[in-house]
Amino acid sequence: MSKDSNSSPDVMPVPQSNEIHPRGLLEAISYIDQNFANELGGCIIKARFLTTKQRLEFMEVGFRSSFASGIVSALLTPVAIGVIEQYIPMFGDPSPTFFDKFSAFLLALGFSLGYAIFMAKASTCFIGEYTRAMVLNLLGGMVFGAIVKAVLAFIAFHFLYFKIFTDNNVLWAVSKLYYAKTSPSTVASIYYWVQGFKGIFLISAYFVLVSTAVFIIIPIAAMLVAYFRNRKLIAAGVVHVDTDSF
Amino acid sequence: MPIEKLNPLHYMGQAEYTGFWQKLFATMLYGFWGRFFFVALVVSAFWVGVRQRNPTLAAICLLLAAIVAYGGGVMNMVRSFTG
Repeated sequence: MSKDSNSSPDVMPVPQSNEIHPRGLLEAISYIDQNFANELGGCIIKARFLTTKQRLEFMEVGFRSSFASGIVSALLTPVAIGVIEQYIPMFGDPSPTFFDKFSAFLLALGFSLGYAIFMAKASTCFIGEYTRAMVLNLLGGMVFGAIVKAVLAFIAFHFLYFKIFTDNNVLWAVSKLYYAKTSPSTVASIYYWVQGFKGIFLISAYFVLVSTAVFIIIPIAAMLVAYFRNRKLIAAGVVHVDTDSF
Repeated sequence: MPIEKLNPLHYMGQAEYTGFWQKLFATMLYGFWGRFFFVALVVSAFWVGVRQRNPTLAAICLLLAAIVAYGGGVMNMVRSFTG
């Protein structure tokens, strides 16, 4: 498609398809990586190139992925605390060793911890205004998602303890086991198990708050480390960026 | 019929067959090997998720680790109910 050079204006229009629209976490991180490499190579891109819609998309990706991984961790937290309090056997052993307790926590926090390390790695990939805007929006969404998850989990665990596992409800549910021809001793042991286990929901509610704080702190700390690294790189003249951003 | 040769009871008794599966599950879910598989799966999950950037495979590894960790307890519970 050739055109007469005299009639065409000296402007190169950016095709619509070149606009970035992250749909998932990996896509968002790959955009950050790509632009980080550009900025390290001396490319200066203003933060305003990241449009409001794109900022919201980065935030949404951060929110969605952090909320999903947080929910998995929140669901596994009562199980992990159940292992420590010896209500749930791990590896088929009713009296857990230190290794078993550590494994239970690793399993409960593994998804969030892996995600936090993953995000920490991504949040160090900024140096200019453009990548910084991307990282800040992604982290903003992630922090928001983590806080929403923590609040929901906190309320849900309290609701389970105070409204669902009340003495009357537990007694009613356990008494139904007699219809299934369960022996009275088994019914009694299930009743005492549930009555003991329900206290774990309150411990879990506060544990989720603490683990969420750790989950948020890891990528933010990585970002601060990257901020000081960038200052050193710029001061040493290794990288040239628009000085307005610092 | 050749298809009947796929039936394991063609080669061994029922007790031997169920014993084989029980031994396999007991090896995988209890004691040293249970802990070994758990650690291997969790380390793989971190490696695949953080290093290889494949969160789906990492989630599958963590799910398998959860099954190895709590599977033994679930089997004990099922056994206590079924006698």
